[in-house]
Amino acid sequence: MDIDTLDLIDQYLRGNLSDTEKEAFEKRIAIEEDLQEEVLIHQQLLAIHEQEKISLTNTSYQQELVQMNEILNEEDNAKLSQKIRAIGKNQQPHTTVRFKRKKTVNWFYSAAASIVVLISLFFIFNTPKALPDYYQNYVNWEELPSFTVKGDPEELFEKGEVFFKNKEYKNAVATLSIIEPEDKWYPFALLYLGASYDQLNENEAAIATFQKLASLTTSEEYSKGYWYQLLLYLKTNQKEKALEMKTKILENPNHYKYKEATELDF
Amino acid sequence: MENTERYIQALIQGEDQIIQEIYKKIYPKVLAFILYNKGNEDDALDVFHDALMYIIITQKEKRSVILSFEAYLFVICKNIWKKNLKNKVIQTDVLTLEEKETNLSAFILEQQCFEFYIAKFSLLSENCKDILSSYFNGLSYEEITLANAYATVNTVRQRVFKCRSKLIELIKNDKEFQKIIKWGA
Repeated sequence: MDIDTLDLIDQYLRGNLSDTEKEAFEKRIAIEEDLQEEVLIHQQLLAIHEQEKISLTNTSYQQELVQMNEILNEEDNAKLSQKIRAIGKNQQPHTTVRFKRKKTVNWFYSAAASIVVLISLFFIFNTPKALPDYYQNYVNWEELPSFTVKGDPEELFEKGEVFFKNKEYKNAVATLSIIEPEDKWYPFALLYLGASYDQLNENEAAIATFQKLASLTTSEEYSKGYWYQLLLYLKTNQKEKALEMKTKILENPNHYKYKEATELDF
Repeated sequence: MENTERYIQALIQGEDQIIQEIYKKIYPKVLAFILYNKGNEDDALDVFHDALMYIIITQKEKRSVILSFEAYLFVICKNIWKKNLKNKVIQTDVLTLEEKETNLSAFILEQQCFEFYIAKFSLLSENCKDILSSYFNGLSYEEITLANAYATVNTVRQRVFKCRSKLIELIKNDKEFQKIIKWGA
């Protein structure tokens, strides 16, 4: 294959040849076996790069398709297929939802400015208590900042928040997991994601999520990661780790729930 | 890598517990992707099922190196969903199980073909991958020259030719190609 033929193949497949050039080239393809192969490979490489369907349609392919159907119907594969479907059915959340693509997050700053952090009531007991009791007393997911803005009902983050508020925690997890670390919403998504995992009693996933939040030291929300990890450690009876988090919070009076952490006496 | 082997083995053996673990770990992300891209929960379940079946069938036939099971499974799910979305334009009725099976068979063959080419492409030098990516993505020799600060258009043309010849050689020297060439010829 020479360099001029390569250019010709490319021009032919991209539809840049004149009718006469095209006709002459197709005559060559019909008689030159090597050229046929080169055109096919080039066509498939173009399809892959353009993310188009690779064209496979001839008799050989049809026979292969029939064989593949037979393989899928072999007893062991058919059983595996049924098993996978059955396991999948158990994963299904209860509500079907649809999303539209997120349009813009420009309203984020105005919404963020209006965050009202609800202060929950705390009960400090002098008598010794079980660690999960502390969790019960302190956990209050209603404290999470709300970003629900009228007029933007389809926004992805809002969807996650709404699912959470409606106690559809699996859907909340599914939605909020899409938000990427580079997104402005990411720290807030982690808050709701961690809270959803907590509600689903997936405590390890909740702790891992709040660890991620705590690592975002450039975000104003990061110290909430310490507080919620502390609560989860209390919930799961991990005293050493809970104490570690308490120490972290007490390192800086500006940390979220600093005052409450000073009052925790487990 | 350790998990990859464990997952593939478990899929082939049909181990309930590990298949459940795969669902728990990866399915929520796939569900989120499909909900976000015009699908619903039933679509997500079909896609996840088909992707797992794809892995079972192809890995039973010939084990290949998969660095991250999670990333691989997710890419397969995305490719299945893209294919389904294209079909949906012309197909509005609910598919029968048999039709779903034929679609899965077609996907398996197409994806095998796709992975074959990608594997060969990955064997090229970084420079060849860059220049051929630009070329196959439709950039002209002039545009590639400018974008990559090559001396002349002819240098780029020669470089594309050499890289493409290397790629063709890699493709043709693999016996798998004899099967693929029959499908498209």
